[in-house]
This record gives sequence, C-alpha cells and structure tokens, in this order.
Amino acid sequence: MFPWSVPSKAAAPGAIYQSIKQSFLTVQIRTATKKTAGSKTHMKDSAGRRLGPKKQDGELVSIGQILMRQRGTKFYPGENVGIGRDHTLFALEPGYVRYYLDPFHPKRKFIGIALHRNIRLPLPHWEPRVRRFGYVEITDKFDSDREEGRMRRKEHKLFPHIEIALKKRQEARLEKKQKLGSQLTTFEEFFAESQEFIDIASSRLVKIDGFLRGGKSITEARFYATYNFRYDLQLLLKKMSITETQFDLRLTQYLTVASKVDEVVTFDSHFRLCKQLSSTQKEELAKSNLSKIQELVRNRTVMTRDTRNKVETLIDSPAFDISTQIRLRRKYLKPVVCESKAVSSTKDAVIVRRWNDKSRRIETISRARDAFAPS
Amino acid sequence: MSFGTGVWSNFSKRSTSLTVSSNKIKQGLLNAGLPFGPATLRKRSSRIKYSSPIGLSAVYPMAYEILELESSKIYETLSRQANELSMEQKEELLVRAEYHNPEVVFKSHFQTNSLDRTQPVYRRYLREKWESHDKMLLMQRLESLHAIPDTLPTLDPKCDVVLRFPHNNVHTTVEPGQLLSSNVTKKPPSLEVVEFDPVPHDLYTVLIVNPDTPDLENDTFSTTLHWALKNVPISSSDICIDALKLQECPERELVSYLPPVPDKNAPVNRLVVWVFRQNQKELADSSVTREFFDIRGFAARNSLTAVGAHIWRSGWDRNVPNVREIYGLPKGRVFHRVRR
Repeated sequence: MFPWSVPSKAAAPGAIYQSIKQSFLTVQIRTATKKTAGSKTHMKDSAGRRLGPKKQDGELVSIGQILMRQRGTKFYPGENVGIGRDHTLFALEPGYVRYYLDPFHPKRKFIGIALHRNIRLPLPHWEPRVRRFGYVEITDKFDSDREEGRMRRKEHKLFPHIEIALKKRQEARLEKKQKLGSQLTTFEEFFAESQEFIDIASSRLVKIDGFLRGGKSITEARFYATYNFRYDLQLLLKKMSITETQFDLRLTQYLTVASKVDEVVTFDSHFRLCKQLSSTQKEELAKSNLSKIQELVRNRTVMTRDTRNKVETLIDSPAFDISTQIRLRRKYLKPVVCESKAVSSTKDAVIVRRWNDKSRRIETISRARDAFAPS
Repeated sequence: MSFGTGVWSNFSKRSTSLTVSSNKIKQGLLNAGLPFGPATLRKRSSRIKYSSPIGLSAVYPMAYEILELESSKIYETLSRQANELSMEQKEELLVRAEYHNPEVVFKSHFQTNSLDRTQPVYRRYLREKWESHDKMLLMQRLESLHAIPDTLPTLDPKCDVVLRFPHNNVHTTVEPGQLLSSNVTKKPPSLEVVEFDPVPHDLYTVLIVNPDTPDLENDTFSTTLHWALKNVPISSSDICIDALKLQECPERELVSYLPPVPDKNAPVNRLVVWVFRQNQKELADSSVTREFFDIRGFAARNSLTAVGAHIWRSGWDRNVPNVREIYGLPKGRVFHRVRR
C-alpha cells in the first residue's frame, strides 16, 4: 500500500530496495528542457608568486640581496635599504638585517640594514648618520695616475675644445694687458715709469677690468685685485717658495704701484681707461657737459649729424655713470623729434601713418625729413 | 584728501627712508588718480592705454586717510607708553604703524635691494620675503642633502645667509646645494647675514665644515673644519662678513681657509656653512683642530646658537691637483671607481 511500509520478513534485503525503487525513485518528469553536460573547474587562481621575507632578522647580507618580496609596502625600506618598482626591498650596504618600528613613522614596519652587529635600529633621529665609505684606495702610483687621467666619453670629446677656449682666453688677457700697458704710457704721470711698473700696473688693471665687467663697483674691484695678489703671495710664503724679505718687497712694490695707478686712472662706464676725477671735478664736468648739451639742442627743432655727434661725445664722458648716460640719450637723442615741431606740408615731407592712443585710430601725418635724426 | 598732511608725510620723528625717492612714483602714490599714468611704465603709449579700476580714485584717498589715522594713533601710543613697553612690543607697534603705508609697500615690493634694514617695517617685509621662498629652499636643501643631522642636529633659521665667492669675476650668489668647481672655491667666500630680529649688536661665529672626508681606518666619513671665524660684529647697516672685515682685525680668523680638495672617485663633498650668535660673549681662543672636528661639542662648549646656514657641494674636477699645488697640499688619493 504505502511505498515505505515494511514488507514481510520473508523478503530478501535486495528485494526491499528493489521494491522501494520501483515505487518512487524511478519517477522522472521531463519538461521542455535540454540538459547539457557541464562541469565546474574552480581553477581561477594563479600559481603562488613566492612573496614574503627572504632574509631573517640578524642575517648577514651583501649589497643587492633581496630582503622582501611584497605587493605594495607591507614593509617599508629602512636604513640602507632600497625599494624597487614592484616594492621589492633590497640591501644597499653589507650588514645585518633588522626588522623594526620607527616612532617617527607610526603605523609602519621597516626592514633596515645595520652596518655593525651591535647597532640597534632605528638609529637616533638627531644623531649623525652611520655611513660606510666603501671605496678602496689605489696605492700603486702607475695605476692611480692612470685612473686620475681617465676621462669619461663626454669629457674626452670636449677636452680639445676646452683647451682651445682656455688658450684663447689667456691670449685675450695678454692682449688686453698689452693694450692697457700702452694706454697707461699715454698718461703723463707714467712717462718716466719703468717697464716693471707698467707690467705690474697693467696686470692689475686687467684684473680690475674683469671685476667691473662681472658687476663689482670700482672700490670693490680695486680692493679684490689687491686682496688676490696678497693672498697668492701669502700662499707662496706658507709653501716656502719665497722668503719673508721677498714677500715684503713684492707686497710693498705692488701696493705702491696700485696706489699710484688708482690715483691717476680709472675705468668709465664702457670699461675704457680714463683719467681718475675727484668727486668735485666729476660734478663740475657733469654740469658743464649738461649745459653744453642743452645749448646745442635748445634752439634746434632739428638734429643734424654734426650736432648729434657732438652731443654723443658730451654724453659719453667719465663724469656720467651708465644710468645717467642712458637717461641723457633718451632725453636728447630721440630718433624722432616730437610732433609739436617739424610737422610740415612741404614738398619734402614724409607721410607717416601711425596709431593715436587717445583717439584710438590711425592718423596720417606729414613730417619734415629733418624730424628724423640722422643715424 | 589727507595726502601730505598726516603722519606719513611728517619726517621730523620718522626716518626719511620711509618715503619713495622718485617724484613721479610719489605723485602716483599720493594722489587720488594717476596724473601721468603709472610711473613705472616706460612708454607714454602704455601709460595712456592704462586705465585704473573703476571707483579706485574715489576709494584710494579714503583708505589712505583711515590707515594714516590708525598709524598716528599707534605713534601716539608709542610716545605715551614709551617706558612701559618692552623692545619687542615697541618693534611690533612700529611695524604696524608703517605696514600699510603705500610708499613703504611700494619700496618693499619693488626696491627690495635698497631697503633700510634699520627700520623695523622693512625688516618685517624682508623677513616675509625670505620666509616665502629662500628659507624653505635652504631647509629643503639641508634636509635632502642630510647636512642636518650629519653636522648639527637641526636648524631653526633666524637670519638669511647670502654666500658668494668675490675673488671671482662673477659676482653672483650661490644657491644652497649648488655644485661648485674647485676654481671657484679656491679662495674664501664672503657672507651677508641679514638679521630680522631687533638684536642688540652681537658677535657672530662662522664655521665651514665638510662631513664627507674619507676616514679609511674606520671605513667611514669624518668631519673636517675648512674655515672658522669668531667675534665678527654685524649690524643692520653692516651685514657683510668678507675680506675687508677680516683685514680690519686678523684675529677674527680662528682657522685659516682650506679649500675643498676632494679625492678622485670619492663621493661629492658637502661644505656646510654655519653662522652662530655668540650671545654677547667673546669667544676665547679654544684649541680647534681641523681633522675629526666635533661641531656639536664646539657649539655646546662655547654656548653658540645656530641662526643661519648655507651649503654648497664640491666634487673632484681636473683643477683640483692645481689647487692642491697652490696651497702646498700633498698629492690627493685616487679611489677605485667601483664601490665594494
């Protein structure tokens, strides 16, 4: 009756199963589906990358040995440890591996290399770093000379050009010295001076010229020319290349030459040798030059070539420093005369079209040919 | 409205450096509008083209009046409470009195090289300029080159140190951390120490140390003292420590200048310049050795306060043997290119 009712004792064990199976296990309901045979593999992981620490705390390692393989920085690089592009930690110095925490960087774990076994990491933050020199001296003379003379490719290729440039500069300095020497002899104070005097004076002037071109003032330039000479002489004395008496002699000789030369000559704003003027003389010269310039320019609406040259020579005097010269040139040597003068409608006029900033339009004006200063 | 009548135009008790020297610029600053356009524009066409922001010619005189009134009140406070105020308080009030003066502001922003350092307000503007860039640059260079803590533990910079090598034709300043050739560093440098605090005339110590001298016995580095100066006086008007100052008083040079002469293939040497305040005390002649110099001990023993620093680097170049020869130094060592 019921499928699970226990049959009679007389039936065999296999027969009980068969009878149950017959009753409900074999009932299959097949609706409109197509059952496919599939299987799941769960093989979606890759092989293990063998990450993790490679050296234990306290192990002696050499440079370059890997200490930790990781994804991201589970451990940060500490003392003498470098980090690679995949955050691999490696040793930068030979020493003992140390795993430690640093109070200066909380929530981080570090791997560092202690150079000596008794050093504890982290090193005290305010102490000088413990460093290893690591280089070996070349004691053999031949080898050391060869290594000293060795050049990298870039230097090797540049070297001939450097030598040529150096030679050129030295020649230029010599030429300048000779030129300044010959210019010195034109000053009446130095007519009677010896060749040695001129030689020392011209060397000094070359140095002063260099300092002025570099941006020093004349007093600074003079001071440092003397200072450099004295310093070099003191070094020679220390090395014992010269005696004390020689030192005193040379120094006094140089100082006398320097004081004489500084009294008489100086450099103007265009680095040309000129007569040294006192401040009163300079003021007077500046005043007289200015009045002359104003007289030349006053009654003229028009600048002739002759006037222009005269004004230029007056401006280009040692009485004016470079900024004053520029101001005077801007004021008195304008390339075009201002439009209140020399606007004419004669046959010889030049038609000029130019922008008017106030009316904001292009205007056509005829100017006399004289309005344009001669070049 | 109040141009020319208030405290900012009165120079009986104020320094004349608190005004602009150029008339054209002064006219621009002390007028409602700009009568000739902005004076700092050179071309007349540019000056014509310029137009001020709308309403500024009405607002500017009113603002000037208000600020000048505040300044006059501060000056009154200063004169009334002259004895009760401390030096710092007086300094602060003097700064506030002139901080918004348009002439002072113009000078501080556009004529920085010619500011009168004796005036508190100019010192304040110089300090602000220094803190906005040069101070941070110096600290960055000192930290990234590990000058601190390899020499002194740290630095709280109180003054601006400007370094140059004046024996050279080139008159430019050295940037902190710059790599210099041996030809440049063969003679001593000159320093300008710009103090921003109103310090009473104090004496200064200057040390130049090299923490990268090879110590082959211990396979490490040691510190060498390259230059030491002591008892150098500096004031707001005289900030230079140079050959001229040393010529006045040769005893100020405690240790003579040794140029950096690095060895071939050794690491680049850092030369750290330290400027200390001696706190009104004269430095007694202490026995100072060049080699294995202990800068921390020296500073502690003489109770020096580090107020400024600078740093440059020197590497081996082909001129180093010449410098050694000039100074009579022994031949330099040559190391293996490969570091073992």
